[in-house]
Amino acid sequence: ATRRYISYGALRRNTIPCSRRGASYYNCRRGAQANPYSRGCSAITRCRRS
Amino acid sequence: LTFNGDLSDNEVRLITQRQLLYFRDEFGDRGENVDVDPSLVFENPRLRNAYIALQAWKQAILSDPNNFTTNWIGSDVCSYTGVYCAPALDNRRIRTVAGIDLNHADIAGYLPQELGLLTDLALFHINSNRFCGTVPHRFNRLKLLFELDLSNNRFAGIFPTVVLQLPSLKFLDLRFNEFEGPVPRELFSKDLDAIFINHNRFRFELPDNLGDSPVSVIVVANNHFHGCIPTSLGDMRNLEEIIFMENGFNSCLPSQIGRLKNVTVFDFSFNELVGSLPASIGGMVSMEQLNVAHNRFSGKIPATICQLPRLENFTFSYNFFTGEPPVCLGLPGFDDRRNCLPARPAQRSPGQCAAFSSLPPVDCGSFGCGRSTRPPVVVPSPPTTPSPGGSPPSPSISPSPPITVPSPPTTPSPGGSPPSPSIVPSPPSTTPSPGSPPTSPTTPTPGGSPPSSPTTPTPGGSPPSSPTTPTPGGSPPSSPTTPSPGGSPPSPSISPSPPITVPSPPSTPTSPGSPPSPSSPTPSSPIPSPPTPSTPPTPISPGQNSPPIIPSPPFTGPSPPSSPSPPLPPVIPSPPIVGPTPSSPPPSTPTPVYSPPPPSTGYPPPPPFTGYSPPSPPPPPPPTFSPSPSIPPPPPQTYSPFPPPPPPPPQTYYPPQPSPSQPPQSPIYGTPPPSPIPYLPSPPQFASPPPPAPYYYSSPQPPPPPHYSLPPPTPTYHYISPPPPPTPIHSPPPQSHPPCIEYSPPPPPTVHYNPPPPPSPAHYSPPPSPPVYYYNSPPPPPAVHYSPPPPPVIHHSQPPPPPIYEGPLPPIPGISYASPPPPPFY
Repeated sequence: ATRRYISYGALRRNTIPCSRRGASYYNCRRGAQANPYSRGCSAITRCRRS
Repeated sequence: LTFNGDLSDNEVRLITQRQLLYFRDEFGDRGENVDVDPSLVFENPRLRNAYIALQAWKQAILSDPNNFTTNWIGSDVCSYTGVYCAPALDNRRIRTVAGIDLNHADIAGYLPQELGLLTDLALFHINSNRFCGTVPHRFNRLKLLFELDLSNNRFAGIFPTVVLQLPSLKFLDLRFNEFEGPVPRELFSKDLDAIFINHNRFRFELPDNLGDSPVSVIVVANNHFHGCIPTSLGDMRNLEEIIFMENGFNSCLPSQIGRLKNVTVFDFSFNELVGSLPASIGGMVSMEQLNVAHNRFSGKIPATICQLPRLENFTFSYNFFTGEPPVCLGLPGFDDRRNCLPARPAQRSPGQCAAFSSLPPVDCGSFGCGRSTRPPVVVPSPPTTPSPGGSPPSPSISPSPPITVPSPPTTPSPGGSPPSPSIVPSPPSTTPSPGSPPTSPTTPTPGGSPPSSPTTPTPGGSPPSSPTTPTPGGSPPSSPTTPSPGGSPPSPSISPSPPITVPSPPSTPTSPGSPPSPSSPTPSSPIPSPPTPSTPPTPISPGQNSPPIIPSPPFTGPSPPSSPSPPLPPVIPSPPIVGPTPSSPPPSTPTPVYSPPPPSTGYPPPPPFTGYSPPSPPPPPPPTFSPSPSIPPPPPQTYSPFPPPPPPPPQTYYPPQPSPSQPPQSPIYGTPPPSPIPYLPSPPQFASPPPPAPYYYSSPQPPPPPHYSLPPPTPTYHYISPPPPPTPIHSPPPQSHPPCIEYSPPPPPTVHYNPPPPPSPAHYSPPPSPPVYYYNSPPPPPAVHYSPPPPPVIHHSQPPPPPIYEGPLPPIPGISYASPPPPPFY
C-alpha cells in the first residue's frame, strides 16, 4: 500500500499537495482542467494525485 | 543609526527612500504606491485591479532569484508567471485572476495590502518562499479564496486572524513559519477541510471546541501546545489524519477517540501524555499508522489495538508500558523499545521502571479535559484518597489550568466530569464502543472522565487485566477501586517532575520536564540500522538566510524547526520515530553523551517501524535550486513598474500615507530564538520506508506549467516519495531570521533593491544562545555538537559555511542536494 498520507507529507517543509502549477490542490489529477476554480474532490485526504 | 540621535546624511537619505517606497494602511499593513500608466489598456476593470495588486507585490519583492516576476510587466496580467486567470464565476464573459501559484519560487519580500484587490482569487499558493511580515487585513476581501498556502515562509507575529474572515476557505496551510502565540478557537469552528499549522511557535491549549472542526486532516506538530487533549477530539466527524506530535500535551488520551472510525493516521508521539492507552482505540477501525512513542504512557497495551484490521504500524517506544499482548508482535510494523516490558529486548532499566512505578497513579479525570462549559462547579470532593502528593485537591475547577502537571489537580473532581457532556454518559451502560469488542464499553470511570487510566497503577504492579480483553475502558482492572467518586485522588499523578529520572544512566531518563523523548541516549543506537541514511544531511539552514540570493534555503529539508523555545525540551528530533532519535539534548546538558542505552538496540526493527514515515524516499531533496539558472538576465528592474516610466500622471492607487516613522515592519522578533536547537539533520530516519508513503503530496506532476518560461527552478517536489518524516523538524530556524524587512544588505548580490538600511539593526544580535547544534548523522551518531559557548560563530552574513553541517544560519548556498531525485515536474 503505497498510500500516501498528506499529514506526514506536511512534516516536510517544501512539500505541496499538488505539483500542477495553477491547479487547485483539490484537482490534481492528471489531465484535469487547469482552472483554479475547478475541483475534483472535497476532502484533501482523499484527493488523489495521480 | 547613531546613538546620539543624529543622523548622517546618508542615513537620512536612506530613510527617506524607504518611506517613499511604501505606506501603511489603516490596519498598519504595508502597501506600495503603484502608478498605472494611463496608456495601458485592460480587458476589464478586474484585471486592472489585478495589475495594481501585482505591481505592488512586485515592488514588495526584494529578491526573486528565479525570475518568476520578471515578466510581470504590462497590462496582460494573465500572462504573468504564476498568475492564473479563468472566467469569472459571476460573469463568464470576462477573465479574472483566479489563482496565484508561486510555490517554490524562493522569493523574498512581503505581502502588500493591495493583494486584497484580487477579489476573485480562489488559490493563493506560495510554499517555499521567503515572504515575511504578516498577512494583510485586506485579505478579507478574498471572498472566493478556497486554498491559502503560506507554508515554508517567514511570516511572523500572531495567528493571522484574517483567515477566519474568509468564507470560502477550506485549505489552510501555515506550516513552517514563525507564527507565535495562541490559536483562536474560532479556527476549529470554521468549515475547513485541512489545517496545517505545524512547525510554528504557537503556544496554547487546545480549546474544547476542537471537536467541532470538520477537517479531514489536522497537523499541529512541532509547536508548543500543551495541556489537554480535549475529549471532544472524538467528535471530529470527518477526521482521517491527525498529527499532534512534538508538543507538550500532558493529559491522558480520552477514550472518546474510539469514535474516530475514519482515522488512518494518529500520531501523538513526543508529548508528555500519561495514563494508559484507552482500549477504545480498538474501535478506530480504519487505523493504519498509530504512533504514541515518547510519552509517559503506562499500563498494558490493549490487545484490541493490535488487532485493528488495517494497522500497519504501531509505535509505542519510549514509554512505560508494562504489558504487551502477543498479537502486537505480529504487526507489520511496530516498535516497543524502551518500555518496561518483561521479556522484550531493548527495554528501560529496572531502575527506571521501578522509579516510574513508584509514582502516584495517574488520574485522568484530574486533568479536566472535557468540554467546559461550566464554571466552577463545586465539586470538589476529592475525598478519598488523600492523595499524597496531591495535595489539596482543590476544588476549583477552573477551567483552564490543567495544564501542566497535574499535580494539584485542579479540577476537582470527577474530573472533568461535568463537562464532558457529550459522550460518555454514564457509566456503564452505554457502550459506546464501536464495534470492537471489548472495548470500551463502559465508560470508565465514573467521573466521566475518560476512562483511561485512572488508575494506572503502577506499572508493573498490577496485573490488570492482562487477559486480553481489556475491557473496560481502558482502565481495567481496578476499576473498582478507583473510582472514587470524586475522581479521586487527585492527584498528582504523574508527574511531577522529579520522579522518574532514575539515575540510571543511559536511557532516557525522562526527565521530568522534558519529555523523555529526546532521549538522548538514543541516538545512536538504533539508528544504524535503518537503512535510509539517505537523508541528505542537508544542511540547511533554511531559515534564515539572508542573502537573498541564494536560493537556498527554503527547501531544504531539514528544516529547522521552529522554535526555539526553551521550554521545550528540545525534543526534537523527532521525527523519527524511532526512538533513538538523537536527539536533542535535552535541556541543558550538552553533553551528549550518549551512551547507548543498554540494550541497545538491537532491534532491528522490523521494517517499517516507525512510522514516520516513510522514509523511504529519498529525501526529498529539496529542490535544488540551482541558483540562478535560469533565466534571462534579469532585467533590471527597478522598481518602477514598467519600463518606460511613463510619464507622470500616475494615479496612485491608494493614497499613500507615508507613515513616517515606521520602519519596517514590525515583526521583528526580538529575539531571535535562541535557537538552541539541536539540529538534527535528518535524523532518524529510521525507518524504512515503511508503510505509507507518506507523502502524499504530490505526485508526479503532470503537465507542465503553463506558461512559464522559466522553469522554475526547482522542482522540489519531492514528494513523491514520502518519506515523511521529517525530521528535521524541529529546530528552529536557525537563528533568527531576519525580520522582515531588514535584510540588510549583506553582500548583496544581485539583488537590486536598495539596501535599505535595515532599520533596526539591532536585532540581530547574535542570538542569544548559541545554539548547539547537533547533527547527527544518521548512522553513527556522531553527535557533533557544538557547545554553546558563547561565541557563536555565526554571523549573519556569511555564507559559506561548511556545507555539511551547517550551522544554523548561513544560508546555504545552493546546496545541491544530492539527489535530485524527484523529477521536477515541469
